[in-house]
Amino acid sequence: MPAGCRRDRPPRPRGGLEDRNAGVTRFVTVRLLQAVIVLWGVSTLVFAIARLSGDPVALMVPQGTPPDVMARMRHTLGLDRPVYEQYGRFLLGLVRGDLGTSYVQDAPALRLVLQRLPYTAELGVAAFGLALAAGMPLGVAAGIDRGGWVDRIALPFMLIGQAMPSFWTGLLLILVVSVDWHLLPSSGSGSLATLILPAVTLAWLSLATIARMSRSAVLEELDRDYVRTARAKGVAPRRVILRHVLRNAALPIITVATLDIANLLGGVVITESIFAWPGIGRLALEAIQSRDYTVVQAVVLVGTTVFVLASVVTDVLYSVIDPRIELGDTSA
Amino acid sequence: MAGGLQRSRVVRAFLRNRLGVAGGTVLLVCLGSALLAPHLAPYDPYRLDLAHAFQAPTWRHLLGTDNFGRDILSRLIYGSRISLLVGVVVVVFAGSLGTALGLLAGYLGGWLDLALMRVVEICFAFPFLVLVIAIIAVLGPNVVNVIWVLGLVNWPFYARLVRSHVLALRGREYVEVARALGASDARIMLRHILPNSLTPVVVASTFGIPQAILALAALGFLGLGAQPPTPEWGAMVSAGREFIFQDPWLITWPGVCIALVVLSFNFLGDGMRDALDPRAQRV
Repeated sequence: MPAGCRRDRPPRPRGGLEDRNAGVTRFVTVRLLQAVIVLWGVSTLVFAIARLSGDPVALMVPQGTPPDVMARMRHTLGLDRPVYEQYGRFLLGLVRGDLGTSYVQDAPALRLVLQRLPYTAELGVAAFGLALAAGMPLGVAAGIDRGGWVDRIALPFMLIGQAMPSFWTGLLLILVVSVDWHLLPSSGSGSLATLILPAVTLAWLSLATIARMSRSAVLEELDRDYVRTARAKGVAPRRVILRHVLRNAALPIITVATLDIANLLGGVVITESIFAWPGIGRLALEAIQSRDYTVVQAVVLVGTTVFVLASVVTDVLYSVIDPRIELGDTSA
Repeated sequence: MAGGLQRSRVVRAFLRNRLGVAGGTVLLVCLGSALLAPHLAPYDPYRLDLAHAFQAPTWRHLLGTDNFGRDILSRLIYGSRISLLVGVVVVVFAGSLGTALGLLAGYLGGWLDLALMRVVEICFAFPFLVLVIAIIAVLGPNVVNVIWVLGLVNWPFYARLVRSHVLALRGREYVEVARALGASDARIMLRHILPNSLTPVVVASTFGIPQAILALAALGFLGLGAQPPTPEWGAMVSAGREFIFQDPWLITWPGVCIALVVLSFNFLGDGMRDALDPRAQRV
């Protein structure tokens, strides 16, 4: 969640030609290796964080646990061993899929997280689809019609949308749609009706960001020479937009949209908390409240893994879709 | 840095941007209320008055009272102190750390640059609210820990920004001249390159503050930031959530404050960027 400028300028793809097939294989290998490094970094961070407080056992047991029980746990978990040995065991466990045991719920942490993951996936996919399906057309329409009525309505919407905290948006939606209009339920899961409000809440910020990006991307493309050429030779305005501008604007828009998935994953925690959605975000919050750090840690690790794999897949897809992207250029 | 003539041009360009000026004005008012909170707030933000709970806006309580009968306006005014302070401290912390590291990486290059940029890339491609939540879960929820964590999470943005400017400035003639005249690396970095890389940092900070304010509010809402009864805006929305059916005003006012401050910072940032960098495309 890096702070800073709202993304106003679309990144441009780089050009280059290479033997595609060999290139794709190498590209995938390099990206997977990078993914492993990221995951290693995150697990190390998680390992270090648990030791920030001095005593990891204190984070795993209910308050008021007798000291001799805690001492025994320290021994069973190997916490009286040297740190490097603990670290080695921790990494070995991760490789074998052992993310520790939740002492509060008396179950393997990984299983607890995997039980909840499908709900988060459902919510995330719905929200991302919604943000893309609504944000892109909105931004494109505003860009094409710069200064026109679409633009004049859409622009303030995007600016205000980006400024509203998502937990507030969600509560306002509950207030209006559930309380005043009695249209949709304010919590629960399992049906389309219960999915709509959480998905809209989670999509909100990304929607505004994607719309703004699409608008700038279209404006930037409209400024280019090929558009002037196409217009000058009498290509119909509609065709200029559809065949030329949109095709070129699509890639930077999609790139930024996928970058926004990281924000979406952060928003999941908030959205699930508002709508009592039984995904991994709420699991993490419940775990914090019941002092079940093993589960918090498992949520971070599983969430990161899913996210990192998703970004590898999108990167590879781009390189296949757009021949202008230089394979092996992994610094994007 | 900009000479007097150029400075007045920048100021004039900024003043022509109506949204930027509006944003700046709102923020000045907000800053004033934060500084003068004890004099402006009509009531003690912590004083309970259960006999007058859930009051609608009246002349006595301009924005009404909350579930404990506390004056909402007074709590919002004190809340602006927390939000602005955290936003500024986080950005100063992340901004100085990022600027220092970006300056070193960009100027010295080599393995330092390579290692640092890998770290920055990882940070950029990572859902950080999730990690922030894990760290807060261990350190315990309070405002000071939120500042630490947000600062540590946000520095890579500034590091990358400064590094790219340093790379562009490093080869400039005036730097070559300074070096030929025997200036040390430290002097070149601090006296010649740093001042010329600060403008983008200032603009980025204007966008970084509202991001930090939003993060603080989100953590407060989740119960991982400021704890009740602290009048932090996010925590106030969280407290009002229980009474959303009974008294919707409780979640409305603090939310409006957050959105208004964030929007104002964004407008101010847009205005400053356009004024400081006239070549930047106005989108």
